Amino acid sequence: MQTFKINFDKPQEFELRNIKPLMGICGLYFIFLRETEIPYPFKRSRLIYIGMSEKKTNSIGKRLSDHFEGTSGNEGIVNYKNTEGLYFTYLNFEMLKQIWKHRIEDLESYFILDFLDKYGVYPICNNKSGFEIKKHDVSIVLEINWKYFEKGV
Amino acid sequence: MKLKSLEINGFRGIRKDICIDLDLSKSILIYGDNGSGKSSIADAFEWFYYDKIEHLSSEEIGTKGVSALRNIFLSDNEDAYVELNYSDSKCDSRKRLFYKKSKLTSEYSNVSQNINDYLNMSLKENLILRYKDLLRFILSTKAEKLEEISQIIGFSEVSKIKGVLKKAVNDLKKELKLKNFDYHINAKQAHIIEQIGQNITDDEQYLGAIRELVIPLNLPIEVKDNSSIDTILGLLKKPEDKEAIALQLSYEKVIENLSSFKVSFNSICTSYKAFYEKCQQIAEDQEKFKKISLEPLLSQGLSILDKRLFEDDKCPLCLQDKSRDELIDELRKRIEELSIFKKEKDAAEEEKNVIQRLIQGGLTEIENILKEKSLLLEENSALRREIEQIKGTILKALEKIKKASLSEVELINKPEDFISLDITALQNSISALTSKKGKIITGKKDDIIFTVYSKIISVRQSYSEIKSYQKALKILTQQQQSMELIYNEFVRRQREGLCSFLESISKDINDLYLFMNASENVSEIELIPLDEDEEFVGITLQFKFHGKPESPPHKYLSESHLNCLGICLFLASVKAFNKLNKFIVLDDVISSFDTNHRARFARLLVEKFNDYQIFLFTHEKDWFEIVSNIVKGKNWLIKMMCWDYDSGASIEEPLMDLKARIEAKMKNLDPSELGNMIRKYLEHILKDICHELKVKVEFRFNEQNENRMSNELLSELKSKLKDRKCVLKDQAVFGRLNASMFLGNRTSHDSTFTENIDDLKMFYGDVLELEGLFRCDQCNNLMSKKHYDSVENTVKCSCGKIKSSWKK
Repeated sequence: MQTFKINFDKPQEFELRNIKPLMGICGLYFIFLRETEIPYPFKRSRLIYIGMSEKKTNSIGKRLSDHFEGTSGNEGIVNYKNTEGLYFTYLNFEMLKQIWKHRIEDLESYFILDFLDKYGVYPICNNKSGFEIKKHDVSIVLEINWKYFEKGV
Repeated sequence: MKLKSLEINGFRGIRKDICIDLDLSKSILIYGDNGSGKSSIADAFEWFYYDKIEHLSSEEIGTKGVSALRNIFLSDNEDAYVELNYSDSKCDSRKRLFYKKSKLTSEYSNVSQNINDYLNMSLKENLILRYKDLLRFILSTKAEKLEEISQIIGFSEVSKIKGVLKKAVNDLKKELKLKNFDYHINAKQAHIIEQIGQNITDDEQYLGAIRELVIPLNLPIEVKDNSSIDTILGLLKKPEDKEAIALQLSYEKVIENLSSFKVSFNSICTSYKAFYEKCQQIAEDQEKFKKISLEPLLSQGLSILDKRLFEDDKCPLCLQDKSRDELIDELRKRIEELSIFKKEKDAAEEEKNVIQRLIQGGLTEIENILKEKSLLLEENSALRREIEQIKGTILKALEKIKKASLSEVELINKPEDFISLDITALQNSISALTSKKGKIITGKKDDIIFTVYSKIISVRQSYSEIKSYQKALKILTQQQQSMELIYNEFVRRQREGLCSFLESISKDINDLYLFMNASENVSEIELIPLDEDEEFVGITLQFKFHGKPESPPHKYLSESHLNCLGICLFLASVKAFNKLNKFIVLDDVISSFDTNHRARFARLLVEKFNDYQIFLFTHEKDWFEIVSNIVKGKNWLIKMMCWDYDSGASIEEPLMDLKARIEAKMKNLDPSELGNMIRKYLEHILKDICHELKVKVEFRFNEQNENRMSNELLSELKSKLKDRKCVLKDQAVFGRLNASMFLGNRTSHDSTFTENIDDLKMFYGDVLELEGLFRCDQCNNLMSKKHYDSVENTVKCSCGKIKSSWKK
């Protein structure tokens, strides 16, 4: 099975001026704390949320904007934003669509389940469950650089 | 700047020269009946400063009213002029209105930079208020109020700059969108993943990836920077691979550009669909665009009605009966509706521009592809033809969008007819090219050096391009963010500036209004800015009525109170805007006020505007009396204006001035106008004598009372003297005057009679003799009933030097 390493681009301040340019972009986005590492069962990480945008009309820009404005209903993100402050990064699906032959939703599931594997639980602000895709459903292995979200990286 | 003197000749109702010496800074109160020429003075000011007179600027009169400015009796070779002399004499100037080669021309005598600057700066100040202008601002729309204040405080210039900044911000945003950096960066990342199974987001990852690639080659060089990578490439480079590598890179470029074009094509289709839908909306109301062309006509019509240049209850165009107010309302609604159409049209135009740019971008991509060496190969000629066909399709689409005209919406192509491309065929071409590229690699798969070399070359190129895109993205984003910061700060300052100005002027309006209308249940008058989508769209005038906020004022206030508010707005604006001129002209502004408010207005002028030079004109006798009393001893001139057939409008001259002018003419043996002047002098003397001796004349209403002729007064005076058995009754001068008065009357009317200086001397001698009978040379006062001696039965002057019998 072919393995692909997935690296994350530099963190961006969780602010509207950085969010607005992402309107129309589909893919995954990752919200993480500025400093604090959450003590997940296996490891600590600043990552608190993995999100997804499957279509241009509900793009990464739109989803992040909803989190920022507090209209997404995810109070955890809003509270972290108001207390510690947040960063975000994202993966444009355009980059992965040659190697990922499934839906974006499945890619999100893959990432969340991989996080579960490595850290012992879903990211703290990912409330939903029922991620269906399992690693054996896909013909590739994604080696996700989770270290990126650890302190001092 | 205050006025030292003012002189007007041959202008409007003023036929002969009138001159007012203001002794540097005196204010002036002028009383005159309707038609006596007061407004001619206000007109003279308006023409001097603004080169037009608003109330004469109707289409019927034309030429900004200039053709109606010269006095009708002025001969063509005479000049009409207005001369203003100022506290700063550098600006003194006479403005003439004269015929030059049969063309009405105006000209300032002073053409220095000083007066040019002064007049230009004065244009921004409020100098003249007339009765008819009182309600203009109050009744104007919220947008007109904003526009008027914006013009004066320079806010409209600021708004223009704001518009430019906003456009710059939007252009940068559009540019960012059109460049689609994120797509290109991620397409490159996808390519890198394809090559080495990972994406690269920084230099460290890049070097790490290259390090891993070269491990199997066991090279003696450490990968630590770009130069070491160059060295490695130098080592791995084999001449025989050169062609294959170049071809591989060429295929990669073609594949990438075609993939990118696929994305561009989708954007073109989406944008065109949106454009077409907008066009369809426009086409639904077929007349929309025709209506937009009516907008200037409707605006002009509204402006004519607003300025009251046409006051009938008719449509000024078709002359059909129509209520003026209804017509104004209807015009406003239509103009507002058209502005919405215009926005739709602008949005469609904008969409059209975006499509054009997208197509142009797509065309460039295809043209670049066609230059690639891989497509020049004979084996790829079929592919090349396909791509050339795509180019042809794009060129056609470019022509179509260029020709698409919003005024001929029906000719705009449907989306399916605009551009059509076989996406499957395009994808097949990409697959075919990918396969050809793959063959090069497969053919060399056992050549580890070639594989590593080609991967390094490919990754290096992609990463380098990613960095270029990132750099360009960063620059453009920074520009956009900086511009947005500037714009936001500009908007904030602009808002603060306007709000603070409105707050300050509102306080003045409120103070002035309350001064005139204390305890009348109106308070907290404010000018409030209104915004829509963070843009100022107007200003409203709000006030508290019985403690409850209300707007607009004409909802509850009476005409008199509205006029009062109009005056307060003007006076507050004078304080706010007039930085240069310290004088104002108020032409008959209190007509609708009751007695109480009139007195308060007079007091307000004296108390709150005592540092201004005021030109106050009124035809209201009572108010004239009130103001005369209030301004007594406060550096005011009080004058009366009258109009007669011979001189037109004139200011009643003090007797001493008239006497001096008569005597100067006598000395110079100049008989012109002399008879008329002596007649006027005689009338003054007779009025004064009759007043002092309580001579009764026939009753006449108001102004008619002033217009008594000398013969009537003389005859009544003689009767009174006879009645009181006064010895003066037999003085021969009465008989002589009866005869010589003829000279004054003949020379003051059009007649063939030519005055003779000797005759006029005789006439003036008689007048002086008459005056000498009644005026004391010691106290200079006339004999008066106020000094009646009931013991002696005599009337005396104030000092008692002259007296005459006065029997009951």
